[in-house]
Amino acid sequence: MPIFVWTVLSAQIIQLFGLPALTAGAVMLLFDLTLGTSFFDPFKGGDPILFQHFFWFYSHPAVYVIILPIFGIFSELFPVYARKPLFGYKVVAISSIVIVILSAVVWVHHMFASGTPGWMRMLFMFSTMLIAVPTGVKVFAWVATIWGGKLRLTTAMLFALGGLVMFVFAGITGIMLAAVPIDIHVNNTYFVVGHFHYVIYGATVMGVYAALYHWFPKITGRMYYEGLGKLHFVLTFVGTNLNFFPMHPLGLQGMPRRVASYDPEFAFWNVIASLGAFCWGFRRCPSS
Amino acid sequence: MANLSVQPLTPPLEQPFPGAPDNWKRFFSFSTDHKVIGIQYITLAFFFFLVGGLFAMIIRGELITPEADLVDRTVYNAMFTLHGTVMLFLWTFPVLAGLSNYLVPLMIGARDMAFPRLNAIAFWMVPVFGVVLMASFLAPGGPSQAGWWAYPPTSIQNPSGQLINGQTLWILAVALSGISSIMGAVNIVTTIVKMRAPGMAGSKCRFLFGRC
Repeated sequence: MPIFVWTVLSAQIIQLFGLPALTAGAVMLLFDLTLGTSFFDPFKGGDPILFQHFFWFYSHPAVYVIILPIFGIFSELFPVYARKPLFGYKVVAISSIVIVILSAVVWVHHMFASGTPGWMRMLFMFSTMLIAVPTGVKVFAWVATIWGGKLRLTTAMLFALGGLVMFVFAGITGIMLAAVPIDIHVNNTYFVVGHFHYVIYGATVMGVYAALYHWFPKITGRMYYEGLGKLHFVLTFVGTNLNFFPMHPLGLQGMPRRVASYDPEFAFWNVIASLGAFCWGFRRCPSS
Repeated sequence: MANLSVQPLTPPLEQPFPGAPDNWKRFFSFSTDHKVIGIQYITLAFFFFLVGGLFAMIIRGELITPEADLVDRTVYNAMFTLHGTVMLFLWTFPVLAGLSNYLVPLMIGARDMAFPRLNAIAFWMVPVFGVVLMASFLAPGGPSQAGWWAYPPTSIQNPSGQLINGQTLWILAVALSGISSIMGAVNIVTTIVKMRAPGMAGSKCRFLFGRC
């Protein structure tokens, strides 16, 4: 079975067991809003933390739903553009299944600051760090695939390589966030936002672009313009990093997320981030 | 010379490509062809990618100066709420569903997905809940301001006092998105487990499914 099919299968299995939790939580929230029930209302004896459990039980695995097909795309593209077979096919396939299993037991790491008891925090810190093992296996398999290959740096390969680099960065900050002391320190700051956007934009959107450029001739029967594609890649890569990297120092300095105004001391990195955002915001018409 | 023609064993339920190959109208129809649905998913997702990107531009434009001066704070709250919701439920999931729909049957040698009509229904729910989410701009009190995670003490406050408000519409959109994704997941898992080409059965996946 092609490795992309393996990863899609893993991702959709997560959807099957995870989504009912989110839908149930959303319906209970709807009842609280419209019918006057009190599942989550603390003033009527409800428990707001319960909603966080419902929400993250699905919404953390959702990140793996998103990233697993991207792993599959990377695993399909690197062999093509490095002209070598995928290193460790079987291990890459098994690690996808391992991620599915582990993803069911990590959701509380979003709630380290929600009054979670200490033993539970230790447990979920451990399980979250375990996720790095199957993921790291994949990264090593890709690097070993590229190693010594005859690289063809087409637009699709550039997007895949850029996505891989940004994914490794996101993985490092992910491990940092998994550690309880660091997580408590940067909780609800821009550090979290930066990590999240490196995963979602850096890895996922780059992977989607890589796949679309790779299969564009197959889907449409036409070839894209290689020059425009490379321009698209350069603007995306530079703009994304300019936008999301400054969020890490901002978060470490303590700028909270979701605020419309902030202390002037945070202005420097915010200006850089905004300029980076506009840099790739304006080019983002689908140039293919 | 004998006149040979190959007849399909069973007549297909529907022609996969009715009309000319570049008949654009089928992309706006209730097509059950997995390639058409895949392209529909990807195109619609890119539309909402632009919408979510517009919201992100407003957020960054607001943050370029320390003071809250570009937009009102309630608008800013709605922007980051809808940016997260649109980007996850209307861009990332649909575009990946589209890629999976397009590529998986081709890669495993299946003629189509296992449940083509379910597939089409799952797709057409995406524009429906997209419209529901965008309609929250017209709701009393404006769109939801509770963030994309909608934590309860904020999300159950309902300051406008109306039955239909931004938060209710947000919940409806997310629940519909969940139902649509579950339909897609059932479809894709069934397709992959049951519809692989014969040669693909024993050789490559024995370590998970036994002798599938």
